[in-house]
Amino acid sequence: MKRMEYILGYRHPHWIITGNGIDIRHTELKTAETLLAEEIRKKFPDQKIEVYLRFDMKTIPQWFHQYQNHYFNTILYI
Amino acid sequence: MKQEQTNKKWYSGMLNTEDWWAAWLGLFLVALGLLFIWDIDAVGWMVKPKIWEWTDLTSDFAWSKLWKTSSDAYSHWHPLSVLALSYFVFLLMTGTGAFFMKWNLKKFIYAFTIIFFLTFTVWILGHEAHFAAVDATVKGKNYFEIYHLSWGLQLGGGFAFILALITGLIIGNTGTTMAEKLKEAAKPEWFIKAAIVLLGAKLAIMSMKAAGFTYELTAAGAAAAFVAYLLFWPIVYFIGRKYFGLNRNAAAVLSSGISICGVSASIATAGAIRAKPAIPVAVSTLIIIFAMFELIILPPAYVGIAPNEPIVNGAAMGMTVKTDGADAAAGAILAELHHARHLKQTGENWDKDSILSAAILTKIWIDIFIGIWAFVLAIVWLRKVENRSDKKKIPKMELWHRLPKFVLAYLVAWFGLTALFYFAKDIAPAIKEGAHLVQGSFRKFLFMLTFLSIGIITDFRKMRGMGKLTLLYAIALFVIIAPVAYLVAWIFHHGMLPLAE
Repeated sequence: MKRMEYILGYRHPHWIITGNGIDIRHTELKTAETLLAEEIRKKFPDQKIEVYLRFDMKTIPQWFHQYQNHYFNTILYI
Repeated sequence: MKQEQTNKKWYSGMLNTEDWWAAWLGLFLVALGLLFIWDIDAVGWMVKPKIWEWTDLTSDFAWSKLWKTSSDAYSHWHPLSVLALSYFVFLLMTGTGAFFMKWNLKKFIYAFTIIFFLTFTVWILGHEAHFAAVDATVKGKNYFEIYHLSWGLQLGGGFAFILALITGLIIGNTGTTMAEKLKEAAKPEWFIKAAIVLLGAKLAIMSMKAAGFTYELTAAGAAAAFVAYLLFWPIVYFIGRKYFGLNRNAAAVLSSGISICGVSASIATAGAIRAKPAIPVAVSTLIIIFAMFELIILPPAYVGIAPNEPIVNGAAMGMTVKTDGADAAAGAILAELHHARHLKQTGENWDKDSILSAAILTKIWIDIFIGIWAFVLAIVWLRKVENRSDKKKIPKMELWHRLPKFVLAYLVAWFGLTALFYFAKDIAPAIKEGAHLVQGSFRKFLFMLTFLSIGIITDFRKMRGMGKLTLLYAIALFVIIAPVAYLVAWIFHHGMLPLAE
């Protein structure tokens, strides 16, 4: 299984997925993930891929970090 | 090019997050205290306020009437040298953290310097005899009699805490640019988490003194926090959905924020259910402002309602007041008020930290539990709400990333020192002396920094336009959380009394 990693961020009103030459923006996270899956599928049509989506804490206001320094990471299977 | 900040490995954030830096600062100070094992007093220079009286001071001024060193080894130092050294060491410790966290160092140093000296000034003012002296004899001294006072608030160290809070609130709510500048170094959660690590050292001392009491406090705190969790969250979620028409995400984030541990819980929950970050930002603003009301109202209210149940009051505080900083601050005020009242009435000197520990321990358990709760919510949302079981997975590492690391340092300080006390009895007195100094003046000053910083970052004007959420928060807090927390605290802690000093 091929493994890939992307960075997830948020800038109102968009979720932003970047990495490996991809830049996807959408107001709904679920749709942004579907678009990412489609892009990856185009590049690697015959492979099973594990995508690690890591949230970029820099997109959360800095004063928040003293309370909680993690938002979420997700693994997508394509 | 912008470098992102993600949690990738288990050691991510060890050098660039406040949580880890609270752990490092706390453990560093505990380690400095341990140098007593080799007869090295590396902590006794820390400033410690004295009780003073203004007519006595103005008639014959001397810096030495206002503060002293924490241990006699440095008592020959000039008070201003002691203050300067304390400032530089605190600046070095926090500045190192700021450097690694890539904050603007110039702005941080400027802001921290003002906050340090403002905090110190308030600390000293708060120990003026008319505010702090209690009419009772402690360690052979009765300051009320020494200064021939005709009146006094008799609030002990509690007045300094309240004064710091008021000072911070004035700065934070006057709309000046100064408040914005000071926010660079006004980090209540960072300061309080470091202080809580030091409280771990105090718990070790308490374990040595009365192991049964400490065990009971810990176990009861865990049970109470667990029960409270299971009651609060569903009730607030139900009310939010049913009567306030909130969507699932907003109701879940608000429920965690109100019923668990405030801002950190709301962020953890929002992340777990993949809500837009705007939701926890709005909820957290509310939490911080309400925490201020809780912090001001609850300690005197609890002392007035149940003056003979200080441990119940402390535990209830831990479950009611949100955010670690506000809880510890409320616990500290509660402890001072109970201590002063009991001392005045009976002449018996309670160990204030027993009450504070009751407030902190319930919160520590809640902090530990939040990661597990967020993980459960993440799975429920993924499987039931988003219904995407075939394509996605929640990494187990999420549990670790959400675990507050300062809690680990707190446990290391507590169990590490306790183990040393038991297995190295010959050096136990030296360890105790070092731990006592570190968890004394250092911890109290970190608390003072927290009080001032909480005030600075609390801007009541931000409540505008949040009517519905504010109403739900107020109802949930005062009608559900506070009474249920008190009942649960009473069930698990009633009859327990603080240790004697």
